[in-house]
Amino acid sequence: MKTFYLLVIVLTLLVSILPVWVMVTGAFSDWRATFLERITLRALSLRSVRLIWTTDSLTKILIPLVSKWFRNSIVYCTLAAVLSSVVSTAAGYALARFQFPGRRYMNSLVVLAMIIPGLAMYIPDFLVMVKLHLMNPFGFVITSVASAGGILYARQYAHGLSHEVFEAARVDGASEMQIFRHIAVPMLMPIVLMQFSAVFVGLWTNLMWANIMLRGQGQWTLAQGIVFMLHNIPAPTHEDGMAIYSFVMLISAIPPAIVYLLAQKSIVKGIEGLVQE
Amino acid sequence: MRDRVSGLILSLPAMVLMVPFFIAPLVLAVIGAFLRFDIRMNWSWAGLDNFRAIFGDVGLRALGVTLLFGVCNVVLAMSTSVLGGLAVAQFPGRWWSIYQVAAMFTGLNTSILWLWMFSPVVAGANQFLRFVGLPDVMWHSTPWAARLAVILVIWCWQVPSGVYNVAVAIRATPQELLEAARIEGATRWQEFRYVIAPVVRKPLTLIVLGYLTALLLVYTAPVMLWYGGPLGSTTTALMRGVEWAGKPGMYGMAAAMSLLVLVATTPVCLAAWRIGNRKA
Repeated sequence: MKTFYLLVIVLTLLVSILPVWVMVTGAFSDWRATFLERITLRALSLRSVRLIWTTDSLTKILIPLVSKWFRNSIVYCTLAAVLSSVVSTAAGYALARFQFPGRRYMNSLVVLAMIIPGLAMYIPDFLVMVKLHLMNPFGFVITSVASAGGILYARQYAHGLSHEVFEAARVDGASEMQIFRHIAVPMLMPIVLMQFSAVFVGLWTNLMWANIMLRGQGQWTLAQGIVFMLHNIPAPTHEDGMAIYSFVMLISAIPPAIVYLLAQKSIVKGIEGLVQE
Repeated sequence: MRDRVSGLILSLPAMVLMVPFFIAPLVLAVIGAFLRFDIRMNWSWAGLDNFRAIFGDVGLRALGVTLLFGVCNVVLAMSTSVLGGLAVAQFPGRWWSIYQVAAMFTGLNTSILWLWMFSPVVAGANQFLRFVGLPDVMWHSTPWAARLAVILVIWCWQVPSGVYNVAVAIRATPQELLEAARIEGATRWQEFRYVIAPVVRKPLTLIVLGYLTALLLVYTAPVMLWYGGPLGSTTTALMRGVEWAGKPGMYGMAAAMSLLVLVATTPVCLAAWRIGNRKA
């Protein structure tokens, strides 16, 4: 049985790591070499980096464009992730702790939103956004804020919290907002960070919604830019273009990686909390 | 009173946002599917015309392609995730964070890299086939190969996060329960079936629901790899719907396609939800 498990691990590791390896080696290889030479590190080269900084067409066109798209992505994703963490956690906590008018309907609505695939709603969503004149970065961000998944995770996690702490705070005269701010939020931090990373990474990689919502090149995200660049790199040769492209892709993978790494412990805690609930 | 006010205040922002961005589109998908309408919402009754147009046109093919990708990828991704998670949980240490590192890699990047591997110029996939003694495949111009490539890419993209999440959930299973089962002489399968599965069912459902919906509604991989080709063999329902939503005269058809996708995917998600919430 152990041999079987080892085989599964080898296969899944291979499948998981291969694309990352191809990208990293591609960014630091000479693309005149064959694919196998590149992934076996027999064609290592810093040509892509050198070209980006020394070729006129690249420094004047590529760098400003990529910087702009990178900045856009950071702003959109951070804003959506922060707002979503706050809004979804507050709603999930309210559903778990309070009895209020409409609670049952809200619960059903959240479950319905979770069950109905969000992607299937993109087309009618688009039509509504046109009608509301929200075909812009604000519309792109705001639609990601109220996340059914985030609300459910928070509700589930809040159910598992010790209620004595909240009662003690109540007895001491704390208002519900103070309890939420000073007691619940720190206790719900794993789920807040989990939601932050999910929305940040989700939006960073969401090509379809970005293509629908963001029309002008100045509003684009890095994901859209990368797709555009696939056939439009002003590089001296096709091979150089591929090397530069790999390098830009490597850069684009860094922010989600940082967010994931920072939230790693919280994601584990969050899943453990959901298991123990 | 205090409960009511606090509950309302804390849940209000989410509710306010869900009305225009969830309820309104849902209503539009349901009603709009039976209308001819433009962006100014001038409408006329279309009955079943939009559905007839979809079923008599390329829409039916797109629905079939979606079903093929959805079923293949759900089965592949789910089984690999559970098997991989079980395997990883057998070995101590934090080495398996490597899956998380790979999970940071986005679907877009994965698709582009595989596009290179399948391309005749870079030819990574064909070099591998030659290495194991198989003939070259024209990935970009052979329909079955193009479809296989999409399935492979989505699978590769889903494996790391799937394995990682299942492994975390399994490791969170209370050890005393597992030890009790072992003392009673339970086999590994019985341990999984009667101890681990009931404990991890709920969080796993929440996690896999996300995968299910994403897998059933593939977009990025077929767009990036082949842009729906060759000859529409990798064009999914969602790609077709987005195409129609960009043409003012075809909004009704786009809404109808959305409704069809909703009708097809919601029961699957609902079933997953019910399984996850069933009492252990």
